[in-house]
Amino acid sequence: MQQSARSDGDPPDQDIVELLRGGAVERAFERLASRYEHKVYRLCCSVLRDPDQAQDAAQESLLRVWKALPKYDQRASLSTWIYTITRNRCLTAIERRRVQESLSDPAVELEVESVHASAPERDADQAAILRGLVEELPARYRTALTLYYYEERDISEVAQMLGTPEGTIKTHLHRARALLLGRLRELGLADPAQWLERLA
Amino acid sequence: MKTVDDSTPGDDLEQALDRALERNFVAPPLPAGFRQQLHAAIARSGVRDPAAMAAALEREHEAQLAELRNDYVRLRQRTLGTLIGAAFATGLLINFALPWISARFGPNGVFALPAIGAAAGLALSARVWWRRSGLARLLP
Repeated sequence: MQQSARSDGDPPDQDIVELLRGGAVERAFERLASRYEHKVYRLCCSVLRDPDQAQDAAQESLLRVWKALPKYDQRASLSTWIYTITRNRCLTAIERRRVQESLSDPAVELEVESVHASAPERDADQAAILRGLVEELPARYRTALTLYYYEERDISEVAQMLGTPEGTIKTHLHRARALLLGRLRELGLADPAQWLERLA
Repeated sequence: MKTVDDSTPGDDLEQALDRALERNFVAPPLPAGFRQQLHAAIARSGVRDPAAMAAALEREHEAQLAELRNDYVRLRQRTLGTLIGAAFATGLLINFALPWISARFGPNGVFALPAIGAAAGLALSARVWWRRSGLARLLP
C-alpha cells in the first residue's frame, strides 16, 4: 500500500515542505517520489495510452520536479504543482507524437484507421471490444474515465490530477458512460447488460 | 477528502457497464526498475544538488545582468563621445573649408556641397532598399 499523502490535521505533504525548508532536498525528493511516482505514471498512462511513452513522460516529469524542487514556492499545493508539470510533459509528448505521425504515410494511416474501425466486429475478445470502445471516446472523456477507475473512483483526486473542477469530471464521466452505452447498442448487442456481465 | 462519483449508474445496464469498466481498467503497475532509472536519469543530468545548482544559476544570472548593464553604459558613453567628436570635427572642417568653397564655387557653393552629399546618401539608400526588396530579381 502506498504511503498516504495526507494525515489528520496537517496540510497535505507538510512533511515534504518541512524537509525542503530545512534544505534536505534529497530526502524531500525521495519521499515525494515514493508518494507520487505511481500517480504520475498513472496520469501519464491515462493521457498518453502508451506504456513506454508514459514511462518516459513520468521519468521526465519527476526529473523536472527534482531540478525545480528548490524553487517550489508553495503558491500551489505540492500535488497540484507535480501534476501540472506532469500534464505539461504529457502535452509535449503528444505534440512530439503528432509531428511524427504527420510525417508518416497517409495511405498507411488510412489502413490503420480502417482496421481500428472494424476491430470490434471481428475481435472475439470482449474485453478488447470494451477497451476499443473506450479508445474511441473523445480524449477528455477517455482520460477522465480511465483515471477514475485507476484511482479507485476518487473524483477529487482525478480532478486534481487533471487540473479540472470536480463537477466537470462528473459531467465527463456521465457523458463517457452514455456514449459507451450508445455504442454498445449500435453494435447490435441483443442484451448489452448480459454481455457486460460476461466480462467479469 | 475522497469524493466518490454520485452520478453512477442507475439501471442494470449502467451498473453492468460500471462493473465491466472497473474490472478492465485496473491501475497499471509501475514498471520494474522505475526508481533506479529515475536515479540514473538524475545522475546523467548532472544535477546532484539542485539547491546548489539553483544558487549557482542565480549568481551567474546576476553576473550576466551586471555585465550587460556595464556594456550598455559603456556603449552610451562611447556613442556620446563619438557624436561630440564628430560635431567638433565637422565644425572645424567647415570653419577652414568655408572661405575656400566660397572662393572656388561662388556664394552658392556653400549649399551645393551639402546638396551633393545628400543626393549621394539618398542614392546609396535607394540602392540598398532595391536590393533588399528583391525587385532586382524580377527584372529580366
